[in-house]
Amino acid sequence: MIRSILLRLSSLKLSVVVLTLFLIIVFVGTLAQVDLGIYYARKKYFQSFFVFYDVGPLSLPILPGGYLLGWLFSINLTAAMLVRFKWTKQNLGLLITHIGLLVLVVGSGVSGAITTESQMAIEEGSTSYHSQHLRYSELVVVDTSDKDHDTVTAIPDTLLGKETLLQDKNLPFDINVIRYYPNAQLAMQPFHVDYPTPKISEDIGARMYVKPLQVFVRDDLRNSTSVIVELIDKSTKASLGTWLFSLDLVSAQIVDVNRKSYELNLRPIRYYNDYSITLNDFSHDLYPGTDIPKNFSSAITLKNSKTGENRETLIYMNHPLRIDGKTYYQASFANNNTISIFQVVDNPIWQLPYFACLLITFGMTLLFVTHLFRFLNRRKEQNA
Amino acid sequence: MKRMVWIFSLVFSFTLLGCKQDSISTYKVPKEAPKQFKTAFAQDARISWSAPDHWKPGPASGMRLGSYVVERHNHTSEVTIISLPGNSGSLLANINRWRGQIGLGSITENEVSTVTKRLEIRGKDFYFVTLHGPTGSIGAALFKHNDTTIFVKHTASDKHTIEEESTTFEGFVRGLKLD
Repeated sequence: MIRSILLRLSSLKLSVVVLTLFLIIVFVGTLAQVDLGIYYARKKYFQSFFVFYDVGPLSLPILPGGYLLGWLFSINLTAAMLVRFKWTKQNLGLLITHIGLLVLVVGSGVSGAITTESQMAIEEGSTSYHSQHLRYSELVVVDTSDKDHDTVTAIPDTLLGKETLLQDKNLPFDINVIRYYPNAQLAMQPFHVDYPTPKISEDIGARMYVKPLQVFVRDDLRNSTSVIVELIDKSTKASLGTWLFSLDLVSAQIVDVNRKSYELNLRPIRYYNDYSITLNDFSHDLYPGTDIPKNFSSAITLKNSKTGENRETLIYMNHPLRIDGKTYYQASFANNNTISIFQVVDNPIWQLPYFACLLITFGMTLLFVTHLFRFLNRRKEQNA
Repeated sequence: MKRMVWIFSLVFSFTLLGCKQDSISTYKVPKEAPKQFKTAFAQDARISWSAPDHWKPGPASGMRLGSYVVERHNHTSEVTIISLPGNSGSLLANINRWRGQIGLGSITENEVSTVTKRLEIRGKDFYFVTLHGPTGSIGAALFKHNDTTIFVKHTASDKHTIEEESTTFEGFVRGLKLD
């Protein structure tokens, strides 16, 4: 029974269909990056089980996504190895090549699911402990009363988007999310009152209106995520006012509860590290007499108070810094070459593709050598 | 075979789970040094400046890209640089909002020219507004830049401070570096 199922799953026809569909989604997904940007195109075509297409009010699955094809391909390959391959010494090369292929496909699926990408922008002379996500945001409640450190309670936008009552033992108050805007435009009242905004009673929000906007998908546009919340005292259940927080409001707003002040702010999701990075110098070299960039490089100091690590290093094009599973690439710069921007990729299994390629190379070499010897032996026998 | 199924289920659950956290988390972080450069909103506005020596830097807060405290003859006034997305209302609406802040009533479109001076600076239209009211005075400049409206506003409790600083203020606005 199991064998017959495996035989069907190991079908070569299935392999051909899956590989053809892979080609199609890579082609379509690459073209879609023009309109959707890299982030959303990758989510829609490669990091999904189905590619949906909107027809009127319906959202129909029109193509299998990268995850589904990856799984079909992996199952097909595994089944073939279990029931079709002859596990002999002569076939060892073939087996290793296929295992390498399997590691490559499964590894890319897993890394797509667990990798996080963020950016770190540092000005010359300043130090940073964190990088931040370009797409997702968080509402933070910061207790700054300790002289050495701040205590941050962070609520991700995925929770804010549910527009519900949020309670947590570490929060000094309950938060009732009244309205969440994935993207919005803020402006001072009394203009544009044609967009009804829930009443905001506190701080700068009381003088503003919020106009909902379509979410920007292009990579060069930033969404101004905003949220209107009511803060509720935990013990008395009394309202502490209605507040507006937005990525467009640069500074934190202060909320006083039980004679203690908290800073509240909506900001891009931050990923903190145990180490700090100080930008000593950013260089933007040009080819002499032209505006063509020759090199971008950042001289940094890396400090980790826990391990005592304290060293200087250089991050430049094709020479990233790898530390604690994170890779820092020189990505961009700003403010007249005084701010350096690093792309930070946190992928714990970044070595896997290299390992898979080594396996495939080794397997194919072994296969070639095995065949060569068989051929030479046969020839020797014929000549004898 | 059982082991294979187990490994596959584990990897499968990884791909389903994805990486986004959706729970409230609490953690401790080192205290941050005050920011030396503008955050995203100011970067979007792409504006920089050098202020006169007697203007003392104040806090940047809310949508303020910067603020200064101006001390002159024992009088303290404030200059703020604010960027708002889009048009942020008509010139008349902004003037009437400021008039309200210093205890004056609204004016009509026809009266806008009496309190406004339009200057073309490096190809852009700059509107300078001077208002004196019972509770204070305002000297302001506003102009459009990169899909935002930039407001530079000098607020004082008396008329003389605004008048004495008016040349410096206009020089400051003219000296703004716009990318």
